[in-house]
Amino acid sequence: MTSLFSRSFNTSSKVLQEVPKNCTKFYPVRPSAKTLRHLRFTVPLDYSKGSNIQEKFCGAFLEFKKMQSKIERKYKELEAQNLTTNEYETQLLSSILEMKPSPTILSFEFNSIITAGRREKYRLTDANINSLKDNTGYDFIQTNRGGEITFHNHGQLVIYPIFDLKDFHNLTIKCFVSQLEDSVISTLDKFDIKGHKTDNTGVWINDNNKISSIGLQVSRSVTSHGISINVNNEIPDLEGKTGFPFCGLPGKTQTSMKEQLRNDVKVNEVSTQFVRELAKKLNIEQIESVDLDDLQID
Amino acid sequence: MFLRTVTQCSRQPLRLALRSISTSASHIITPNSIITKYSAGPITVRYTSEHEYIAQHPDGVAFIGITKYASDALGDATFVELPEVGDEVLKGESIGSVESVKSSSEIYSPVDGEILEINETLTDSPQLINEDPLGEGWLAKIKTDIKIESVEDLLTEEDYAKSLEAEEN
Repeated sequence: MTSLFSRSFNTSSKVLQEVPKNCTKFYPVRPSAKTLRHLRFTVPLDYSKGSNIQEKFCGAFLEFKKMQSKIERKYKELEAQNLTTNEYETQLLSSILEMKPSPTILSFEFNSIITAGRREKYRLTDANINSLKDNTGYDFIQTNRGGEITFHNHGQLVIYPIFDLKDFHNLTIKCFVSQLEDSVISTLDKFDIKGHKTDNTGVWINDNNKISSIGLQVSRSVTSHGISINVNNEIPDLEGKTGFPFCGLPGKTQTSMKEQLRNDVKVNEVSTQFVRELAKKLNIEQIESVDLDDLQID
Repeated sequence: MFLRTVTQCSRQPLRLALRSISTSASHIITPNSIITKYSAGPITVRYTSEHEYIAQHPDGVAFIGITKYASDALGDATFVELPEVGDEVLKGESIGSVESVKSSSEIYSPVDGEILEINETLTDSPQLINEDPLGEGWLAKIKTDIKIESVEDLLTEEDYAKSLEAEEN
């Protein structure tokens, strides 16, 4: 009831970001993409551990794509010579292609850390980085994602969507980011919080308070890195303490679901809801999820 | 009923028109641009399946960038990361990235070679990637001994156009 009420009367003063053209009608074009895997890490991990896990998943996708393009090129060559593969070969190759990994979402909570987007490599000096570390007590990691400087800490949900955008009809990175933002908004809505898109990427409660940040990386159409949603975490006053505007937006602050609701929300419930919303938007029929407290890699 | 027929009729040609615009002009090197003016030509142009182009002049020097299709898919570019002059790069290796909607997309070299020059205007004007990706928005100039027409997985203009159509359908 509350939700219905606020939906009909809450009109934001901010003009909503225009939905990018042709950002509609997504659906899986490969059987592997009809299932979305959700690996839900239920215990906070170090950021570097999470990033290693992500790299493994991303690497598997990229390796597969390399093989896939080799097979496709071979087919083309044969075609050009008016040759075909025999039935056995055709079946073998197509069953190999069916082994493509499904789109995967890794969800985490991280121990306190500050991370910087790719462009900060050219902006931050060693002295800047040291002052960031000293003033916050947080560690610092340079990454290859988009976006600027951000933080992670306990109570914040971090989602890494590992998708081959080419597995979906019409899905460009611009549309994907828009779908991710919409999924955050629908998720918040389930908890009776109204989120909005603004001219600045991410999801906002109002013009000055951001609740969810985005910074992705795309390698050969495979996405990595992610989205954060402040659930129960403390919001550190990083700009006040360090003088560095977070996410490149001076004067803007962040808020959390807890602050909005004056109530605790379980991080794991938010991640599950988010995965459902994203699956719905991309017309993915099935979700497979597994809870993990760690994953031994190597 | 009549109304419905009318709208359907008028919608059809419009869609066809849009399609022909998006697939014909999205990958042609901008005439009279820095890329075409480098030599008297002829220029050989090839494409990767990840939407990079390479435009090679008779002396082997080639311009690398991304197609209009790619820059439209990315959205407004806010930051461009370029390789360094003198870098020896390998085919398929990342030579930089374009950031849009807080997403950093890798750019890969279509051939082995040495980076001769980079388009430094992109540092201050990343929007050139959207405005004229096949001209003023070129990324890097590379020196290579390889004739790009002999690189087997690069696509000709015709094949690239076909792959765009396939992607849209």
